[in-house]
Amino acid sequence: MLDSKLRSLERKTLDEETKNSQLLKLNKRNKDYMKKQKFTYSVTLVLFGLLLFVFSQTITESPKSIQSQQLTNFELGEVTKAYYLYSKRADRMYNLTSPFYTDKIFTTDPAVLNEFELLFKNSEWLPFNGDLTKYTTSINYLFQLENGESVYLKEINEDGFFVNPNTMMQTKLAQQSHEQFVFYWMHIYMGKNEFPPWKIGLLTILLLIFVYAAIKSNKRGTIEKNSSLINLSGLGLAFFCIHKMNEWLGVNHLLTLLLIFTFFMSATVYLHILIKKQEPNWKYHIQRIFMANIVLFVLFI
Amino acid sequence: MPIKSMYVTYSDSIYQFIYFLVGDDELAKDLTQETFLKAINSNPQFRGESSEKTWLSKIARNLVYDHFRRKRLLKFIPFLHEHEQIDYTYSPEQWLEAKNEQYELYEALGKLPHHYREAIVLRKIEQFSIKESAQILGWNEAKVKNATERGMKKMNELLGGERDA
Repeated sequence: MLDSKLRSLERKTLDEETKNSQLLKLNKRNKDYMKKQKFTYSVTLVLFGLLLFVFSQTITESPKSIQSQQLTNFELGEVTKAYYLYSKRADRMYNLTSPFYTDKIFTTDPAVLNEFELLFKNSEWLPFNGDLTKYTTSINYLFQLENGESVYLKEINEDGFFVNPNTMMQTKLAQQSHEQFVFYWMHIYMGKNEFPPWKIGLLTILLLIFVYAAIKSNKRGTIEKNSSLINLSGLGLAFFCIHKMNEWLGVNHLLTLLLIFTFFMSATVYLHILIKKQEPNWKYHIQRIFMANIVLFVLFI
Repeated sequence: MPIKSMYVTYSDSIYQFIYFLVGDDELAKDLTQETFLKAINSNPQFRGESSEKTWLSKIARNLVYDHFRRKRLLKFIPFLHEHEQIDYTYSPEQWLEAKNEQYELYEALGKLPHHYREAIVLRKIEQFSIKESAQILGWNEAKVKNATERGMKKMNELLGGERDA
């Protein structure tokens, strides 16, 4: 009985005047919101374009001019730092001027550096008459010496045949020495790319913060303001992930990934518009790009 | 759904829902408008997990709570645990006074603890399902059932016990 009385309880409705004035205000606010969304999207696109431009400029930086030195005898000398440059563009970037350039690993371990010195110590160096531009995909090494100079070596054909582009001198390591040389770098590479428990712990904590934020926002029905702590953590994590991906996979791969993300996000946004007939929230989609970065990063480890 | 059609379709229902919660005509009108303004900003985030009416009702309820927070009715006390004990002026408008039985129902609703009132308004008046009510209130379904049952019992008591006969 009470059920039916409540169901048929008389209710007041909004009068026409109120409805009209509220509709007017809503329409105005809706237009303002659309304008703001378009502005945000345009600014983001411009910034994204600018970032890509800066990126592309740093990776196509012109090579350091090679000044041939009239040296007939070459000694590696005392090495203080050795780099392994595994990028295809390393031969153009061997001067390492770009802070964005990360397709490299290095070691300052005295024991390893000493081994490198010994491996090259008694090698025979001969003039190289070939065309180095043919070997764009070769592996490159850079040795910083105690006297402040740098020695850049390009390994062509991956069989222990090294050329110094500065002096245009060549040498060939014996097979055993070459295997030893590769073995050391393999160890350095593995050591550099290991994933220690503290990193796993940090990632877990950051991901938990995200999960907490997601649950919290779900409870309120709509995704609303996240706390600045969560936003900052998210931003920090995203940059960390991009940096690590850049370091591990190389700029080429990173740009490919960004392209894939952009394609994926564009497709999602267009589907969103087509199916839901709604203007998408660009800020939300940009956040999703960052989240996709994070998910991909976690998958890669 | 575009905001205009959304407003035309749901404004009355949202207004009524808010009115039941706040018991004040002008405040209910303001909060109705605020609900739709908020819906504009969060419309792209509507993920279709519930109906639009459920989604709007949830925004409306959050706004009602925010309003009371702003009014500092809940100052110094944990909101989600203690708000249910707080009552506020809830008086049906003049337009109902002539209709005695309806007036009594409104009056009884106003005397109910807030969480019982919310459950009854959603389940018995607005006819939301248990699941939808749980989504709007942010409770689990058992709590919705429980609050509805106890609210109905309390309301019967307030109405003198004879109405549910």
